[in-house]
Amino acid sequence: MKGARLLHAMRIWRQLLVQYCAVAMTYRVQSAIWMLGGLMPIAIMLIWVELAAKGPISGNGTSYDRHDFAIYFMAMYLVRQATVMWSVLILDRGIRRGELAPLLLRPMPPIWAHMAEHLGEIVIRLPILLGVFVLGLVLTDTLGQLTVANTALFALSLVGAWLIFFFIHYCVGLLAFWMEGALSLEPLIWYFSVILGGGAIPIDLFPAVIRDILTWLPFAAMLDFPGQILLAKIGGAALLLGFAKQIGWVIALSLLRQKIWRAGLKRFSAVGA
Amino acid sequence: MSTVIAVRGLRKEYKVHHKEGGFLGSLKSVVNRRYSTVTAVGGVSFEISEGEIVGFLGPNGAGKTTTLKMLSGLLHPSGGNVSVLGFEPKQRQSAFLRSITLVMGQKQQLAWDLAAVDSFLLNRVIYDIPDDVYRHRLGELSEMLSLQEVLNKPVRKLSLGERMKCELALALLHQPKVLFLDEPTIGLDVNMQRAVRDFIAAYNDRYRATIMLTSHYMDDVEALARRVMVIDGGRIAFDGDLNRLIAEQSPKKVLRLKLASAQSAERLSQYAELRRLDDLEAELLVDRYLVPDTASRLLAELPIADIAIEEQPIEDVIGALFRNSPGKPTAAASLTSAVS
Repeated sequence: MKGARLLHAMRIWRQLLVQYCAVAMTYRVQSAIWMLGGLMPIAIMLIWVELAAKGPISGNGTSYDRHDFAIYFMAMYLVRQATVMWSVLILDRGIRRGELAPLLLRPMPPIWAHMAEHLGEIVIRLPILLGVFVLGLVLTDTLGQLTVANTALFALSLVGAWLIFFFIHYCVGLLAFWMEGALSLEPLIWYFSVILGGGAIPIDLFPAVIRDILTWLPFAAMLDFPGQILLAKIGGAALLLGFAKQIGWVIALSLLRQKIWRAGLKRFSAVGA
Repeated sequence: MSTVIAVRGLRKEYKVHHKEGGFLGSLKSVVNRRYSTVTAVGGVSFEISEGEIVGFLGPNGAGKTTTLKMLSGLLHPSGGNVSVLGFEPKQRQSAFLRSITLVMGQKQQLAWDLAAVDSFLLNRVIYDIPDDVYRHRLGELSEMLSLQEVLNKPVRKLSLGERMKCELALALLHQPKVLFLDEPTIGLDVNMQRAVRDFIAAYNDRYRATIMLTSHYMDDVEALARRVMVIDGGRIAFDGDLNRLIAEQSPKKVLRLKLASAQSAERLSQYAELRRLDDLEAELLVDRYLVPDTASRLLAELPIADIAIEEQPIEDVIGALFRNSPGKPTAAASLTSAVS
């Protein structure tokens, strides 16, 4: 019985992905514009590479030379681009204007459709993202520094980062059940992730006390941790702890989402619901 | 006949935030936020049997849509009990969702950017419909609603009528036993309205589906529902036979005239009660039994370019239900008890 349910769920997922890849294809121009807007990590990379031109920059017992900065911020570029989320917008509109209603009528968790919508977009944009990523590494003469193992682990951490980003956005989006301005909270997630997650400054370069706090927050698990893996600055127990933090945040946030969702549904009352 | 829908004392209340207009109003609402509780549905009770088609009528804001949404599990009731096919809708159990559908004229399930058939393929998988059954049902629905030419077009390129027909077909692909139809013909032209009506009737006939229908078009209700429930102010004001409601509450019809030359209000009032006169267009309210005679006299004696005979708008009929009575609760109670 469980096996049949799992197979059914897999068939639904396959069809959802097919459908949302097709939708993403129709919005390819919009995707291209979004990708142009996501070049900020590359701009920050250029600043740090220039700053490190005279010698490595040290902090907390580690140092970053210009090549390190190049790899780190190309990793930031890829993570940010692969984790672009618009679920706050979808939920805000869905809850306040009632567009959630058709999804609630289907015998399928609505979150599946929202997840598939984002994944469909990634499938379409991933080849271009990877192209830019590899080109960036080639131009900064750092491609040769990557190992197969680190690249594979980086890809794995990208999955964790995506899930954390998704659930944070989803939880914020669900606040639309209670408030009218959930959408206005979306930029905060971005600011927090850039400032506190290592999107502008590698976490290692913060003062030690602050760094120790930041490494436990979800923002570092989303951005800095994948960057550290690609840089090969992390290994052994620290690597396992990093993945454990990612998994912990995914579980905590998905449980939080479930709680908010259940409480919110009782309040679902949009005039156009 | 077995009871499919059973509702007891169903209530829904909303907390509504009040804000005055303009910048000052916005500022005030930040400092002093005022709320009030609005009762959308105020304790309704009814039962619907298997295979029944019930017209659910009422003016805008009466609580029709809110009731349908509670019956389909979209909204959680503030109080009372609901049972649909033995399920409590708000639990949204998979078996319940597989047995019902809610079609809302202004909300869509179809994926806007894709061909309509893509949404059908997705629902086939979601509802776990075997391939051969899917092909058979899609063929049947396509035939009944003339969708063959439409299914492969992007939804955004479809006309409103084509889209509405696709929505209906999509909502029925899993062959639900209970249909909640909220304004299924809104915005459609007359031919398309008729096609949708015929389809709903055929579906009910073929599958003994239980249907609750709201519509502002009297023709929809007349063609489909023998039983009507009138809701106003969140309470059931009438529950019974449609013909009785019309005869009691709408003894007049509307004669809509297009005049070839302007006529005075006095002149038109000689034929019947003048409801509206706007340059070359006029509307007369005529007793039902006098309609043929009055229409003949008008055509013979006045320069008429066009004439149409229509039912009074449903809102007028329902409005009359209350205007004609000295006290709303008493009137509602007496009408309900009269038919029960």
